[in-house]
Amino acid sequence: MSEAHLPEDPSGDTELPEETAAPSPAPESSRNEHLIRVRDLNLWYGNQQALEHVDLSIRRHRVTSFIGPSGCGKTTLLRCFNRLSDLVPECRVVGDIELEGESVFAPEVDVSQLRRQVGMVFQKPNPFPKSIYENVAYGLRVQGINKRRTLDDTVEWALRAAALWDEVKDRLEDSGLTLSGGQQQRLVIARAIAVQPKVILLDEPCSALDPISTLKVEELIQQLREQYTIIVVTHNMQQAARVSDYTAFMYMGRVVEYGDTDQVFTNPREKATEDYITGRYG
Amino acid sequence: MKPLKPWIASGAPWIWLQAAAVALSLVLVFGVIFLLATRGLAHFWPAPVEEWVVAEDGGEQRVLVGQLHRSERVDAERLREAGVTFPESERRVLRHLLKTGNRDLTGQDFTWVLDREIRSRARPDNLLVLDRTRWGDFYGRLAGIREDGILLPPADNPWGELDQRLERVQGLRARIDELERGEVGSVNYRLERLRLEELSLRQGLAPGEAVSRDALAKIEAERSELQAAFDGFSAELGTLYAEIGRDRLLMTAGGTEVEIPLGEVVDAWRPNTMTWREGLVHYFGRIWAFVSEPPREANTAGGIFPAIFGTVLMVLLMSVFVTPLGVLAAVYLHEYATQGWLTRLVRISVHNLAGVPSIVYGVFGLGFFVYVVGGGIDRLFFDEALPSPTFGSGGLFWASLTLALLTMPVVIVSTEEGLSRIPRALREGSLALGATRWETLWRTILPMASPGILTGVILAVARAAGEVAPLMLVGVVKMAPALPLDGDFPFLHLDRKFMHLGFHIYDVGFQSPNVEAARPLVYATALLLVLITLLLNLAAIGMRNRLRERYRSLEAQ
Ligand SMILES: Nc1ncnc2c1ncn2[C@@H]1O[C@H](COP(=O)(O)OP(=O)(O)OP(=O)(O)O)[C@@H](O)[C@H]1O
Ligand SMILES: [Mg+2]
Repeated sequence: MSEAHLPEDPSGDTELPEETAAPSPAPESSRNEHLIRVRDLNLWYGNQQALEHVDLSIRRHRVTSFIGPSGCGKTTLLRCFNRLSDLVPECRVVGDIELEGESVFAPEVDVSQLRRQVGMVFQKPNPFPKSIYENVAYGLRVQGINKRRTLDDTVEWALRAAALWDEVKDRLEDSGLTLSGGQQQRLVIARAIAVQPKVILLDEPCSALDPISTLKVEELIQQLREQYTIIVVTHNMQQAARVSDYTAFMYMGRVVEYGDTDQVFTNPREKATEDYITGRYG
Repeated sequence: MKPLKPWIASGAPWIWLQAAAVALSLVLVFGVIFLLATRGLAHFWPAPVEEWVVAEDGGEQRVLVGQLHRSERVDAERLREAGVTFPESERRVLRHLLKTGNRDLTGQDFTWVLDREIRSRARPDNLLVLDRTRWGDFYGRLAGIREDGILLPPADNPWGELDQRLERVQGLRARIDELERGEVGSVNYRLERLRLEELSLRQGLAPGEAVSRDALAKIEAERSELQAAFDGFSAELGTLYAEIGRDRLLMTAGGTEVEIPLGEVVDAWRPNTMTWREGLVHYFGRIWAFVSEPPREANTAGGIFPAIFGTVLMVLLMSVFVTPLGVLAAVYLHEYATQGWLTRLVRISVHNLAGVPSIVYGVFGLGFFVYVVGGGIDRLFFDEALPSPTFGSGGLFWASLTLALLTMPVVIVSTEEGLSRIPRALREGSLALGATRWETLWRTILPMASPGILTGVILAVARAAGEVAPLMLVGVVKMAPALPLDGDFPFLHLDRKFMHLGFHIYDVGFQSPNVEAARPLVYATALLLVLITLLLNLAAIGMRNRLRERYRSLEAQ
């Protein structure tokens, strides 16, 4: 694979075109604006640049998927949205991300407040070594919500929303680590939505799951998009095609192509995208 | 023959070597415990009392009464040099160390007897052993009992009579102890506090100002109340002492007749008549007395309770100090400090601190804690007691703090290890839910690191329980007048000096006037120290295992 397949400046045309045929029933009107705007984002790990001139906008109540070869910077970009990038000491960011018009990198931003609005589900399920109940209630407890009734209600609601309630309702006090991998993944999704964020970032949520659990998570994404804005990273082309409204293809730290999922998959503008989608790329 | 090369390549020699090392360590550990147990615990067994008739070649006969302490074979040449004469033909001779007791009569507790000089050995039923509050054990025969100076007519059952009177004396002595240690001690303590209170009232005055009459009157009233209580106790003690001195035993030993006040007798038994069941009862009774009673006769007799108490209390206090300190330091180093050459330097220093000889910590504790900090505290808060120091001399508090300092590196190191074992994904999971770093630390990381923290505390306890050298400088004494925990406000007296098993071993074994007699106590005390260390450790390990159970699945991840 050589650089020749790549356009000279892939960042040029990555601003999402005006919505054409809405891919799915979504609330129209003013709600349907750009929730997140990434403006010329560059990121370095030490001297190595991991993101270059990323420009993107993410629509509210839509599912956007990031695809691209391993190491192209999908996770890195995702972790900028909730500023988990802060945790890497040698990481340096130039550029900006706006959430509802407000910069997330501004010094006055309360990071924990931001992370409550931008929930994240990680590549590998990481439930806490606590009971299922406490796992889901965790985000509420750190907000100082300790009222049993509120917690009970929220836990049930979040577990139902994550399609896990029926499987665990009789064993809420068991450790979250006793669940199967697929259940754990849904548990951490429930944990993330329990704090009612605006955005949910899903980093390869199905990479460790069997087909049935994968299906469940995909159904879940379909349900959640009614209330949340979802960004999902995946290596599975079919999955991206199935669940997402928009797709961004990333390559070596750049967003090469970004558009309607249908368009990206059936009629990619860039050669690199086509190669990757058709499997001619590793 | 087996070809050597493949055998070596298979790694089998290494496995054998490792197994041998493990076996050797096990043998050593059990050997230590076995030695301590046999040497120490045998002492409490009611060994038979023997009557030996001994005569040197051509010399006149002597009668010796006592318990066989140990026997050994020695080089004949050595004895000849020492002036003992016997035939040339013998090269090695057997000799016995007989514990003859009766130090008040003979001036010594033990006698060496050459086996060849023994003419006869017997175990008469009527030989009596007396455990006394003074002069060690007594061996002899009961000749009679005097009550108020009057010799009682021979009873039908002299042993029953003796037991009955002994029981009465034991009851009286228990009451006396209770009065002297408890009530009188408490009154004295409160009187002293009153005195200091009055002093501080007077010292706090501006020149020319007079002490408020009310305050003085209150103190005076309280003092006279205490004084009245004190007088009451003194009177009671007086009658008790008169009572306890009523009976005296008439004993014969080695042909002489002695009178022994029954009030000095702690226990009396006739080992030669005991069945093994009675022997067992007696045995465990004496072991219990050993662990539950204070020492007597410059620590060479009696129990070691204050030392056990002091050791355990000191270790517990040490854990209370070292755990938060060590954990805070480790958390700061691992979670908050920017990792760089400075943190590396600090970490290296901490590791090295673990290797500093403990006496150095003792010197530091004395020079800094006791003199500087303690002296400062005294000047600030205990001004009225000066020049006699309160915190300005060694005590429980400084000893615990010194040991906390000594064991802090262990806690820091293993806490840091526990912290670094926690997967990053879990921290990020918590942070991603909007928890701050502090909340993440408090709710997730510390609970999960707690097994690691407790491992550190276990190691700290193990080290602190066995440490003696630094303690000698900062608060351990051979004989403490009072326990550091009692019923007088503020109950836990951190400023008091205390006794410690380790130091007790050193003191009894090497500083006591009667080394041979005290030697079994050294072994028994050492055994107890090992057991207590073990117990403290087991408690901590049990706690850790329960926590581990909680986060068990974590390690599988
Ligand atoms: N903490 C870090 N320190 C240094 N370099 C990093 C760090 N995290 C990621 N990188 C580098 O940044 C680049 C992008 O990594 P990133 O994890 O974003 O890839 P990805 O697209 O998520 O890959 P995958 O599909 O395999 O998860 C990689 O080259 C990676 O080596
Ligand atoms: Mg990734």
